Amino acid sequence: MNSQEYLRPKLVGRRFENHSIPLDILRDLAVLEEMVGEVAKWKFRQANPDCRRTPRGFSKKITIALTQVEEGSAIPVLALMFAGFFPPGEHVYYEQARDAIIAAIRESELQKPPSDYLPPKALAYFDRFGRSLRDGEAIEFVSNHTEPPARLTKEVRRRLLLASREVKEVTEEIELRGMIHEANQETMTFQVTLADGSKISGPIATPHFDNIIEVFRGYKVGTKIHIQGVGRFSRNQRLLGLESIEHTTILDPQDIPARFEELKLLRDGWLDGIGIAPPPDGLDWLAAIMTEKYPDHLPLPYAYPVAEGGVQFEWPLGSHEPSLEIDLNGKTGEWHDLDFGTGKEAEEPLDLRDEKDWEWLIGRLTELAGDKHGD
Amino acid sequence: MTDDTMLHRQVNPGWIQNGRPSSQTFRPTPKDQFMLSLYDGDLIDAESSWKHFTDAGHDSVGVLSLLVREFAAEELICHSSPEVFPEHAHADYSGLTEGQMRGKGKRLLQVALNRGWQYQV
Repeated sequence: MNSQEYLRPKLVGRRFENHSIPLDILRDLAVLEEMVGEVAKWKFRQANPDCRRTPRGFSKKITIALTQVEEGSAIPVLALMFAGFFPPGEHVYYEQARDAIIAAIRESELQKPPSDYLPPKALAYFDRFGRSLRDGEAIEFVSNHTEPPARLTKEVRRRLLLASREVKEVTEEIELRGMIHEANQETMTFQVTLADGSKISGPIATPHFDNIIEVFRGYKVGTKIHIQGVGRFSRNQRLLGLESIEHTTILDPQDIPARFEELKLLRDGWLDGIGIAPPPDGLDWLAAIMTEKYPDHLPLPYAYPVAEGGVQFEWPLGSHEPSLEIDLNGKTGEWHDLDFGTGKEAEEPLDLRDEKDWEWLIGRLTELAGDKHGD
Repeated sequence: MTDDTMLHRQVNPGWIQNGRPSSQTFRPTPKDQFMLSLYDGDLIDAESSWKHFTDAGHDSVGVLSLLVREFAAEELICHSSPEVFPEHAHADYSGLTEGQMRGKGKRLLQVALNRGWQYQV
């Protein structure tokens, strides 16, 4: 086999630093071969309007392979592979296909219709190409050295898909948490109830069968599951269902992100007309810092909204009942501990931006949790 | 109202997680001006108090109750306050610090939970 360099997309984002390409991005790149082949056929038919179909074996003479990964923010080098010393005549259409795809991405990035460069059928390939991109990530394509690179991002991918009238649904990688109220072993499907009460169905993939059934059995006691997979969305971004599942985790009953999804549904006036809803960005901050600082060996707190828009954590730990009332705007906390045995109370103001205050909090909880085990 | 009068407190849906109510249930918010709103059990039972509360457009997942003398054990004086509506009463937390109110809220919740829910949806 001989090869000819074809494309050097640059992967931009924190995940691609250190010269590495996550495997899910390779899955996206694999779609590119399929997409390029179809666009090359379309280009052939445009150039040969008298031919009703492409020549037999058109897309079998050329394949696309990853030949190396260059340094920097990772750059996979993709090459056309072919038998013989020279590339087959079809390679011209592969070159045109590449240029058309890059031009469509550029147009979409500039909020212009990409349909001048790609037909609706080809645009539909963006359902799988670029799906693994996360917020802040991009695949950059250079077509020449005079123009800036065309950037495929989550948002650009979405615009490309919606430009195709053939696309009725858009798939996105999603994470969700909920309770499973229905599981059907005959059809191998299940339904999950989300925090806002909406119900979403999905397939029971065999590796996740046990987790799904266990969460289904725990429905009445509020057992929740965390699902990572691919969701199907309507053109107006309404979640319609799960297309596939990649990971499932049975959640701790006090799982913080799951509880915060519930708290995000609160509206001003939630407490007899006076409660202020906790700010969503404050809840995201608290969930993130708990993930970073809170050790696995400690029991997760109960989390309740506070009338003034904060959150109160409560830990029933045997004879002690500590609590932490958190001001999400000021990022401060008021620690209070009651020892039911002695009646003693302790208070401590905490600055939750301060590493030392987190150490104090974790240390105090570790002591109290240890006391509980010693009871 | 006597020492043995049962006083009913509505529990907000936000203040319950996996069946456990928050100790805030027995702590007035700053806007309550140190007065915890209650229903006088001599005049209305727990279920009827829930109905009265929710019919007024408020949310409640159930009713926890304490005796007047259980509030008194925390040095909290309870009064009828029919000017709000005939069955209304309140416990007075005036003069207490936030920390003191937190401690009382925790102790009172434990007493109420030991008695059990008087009405639950």
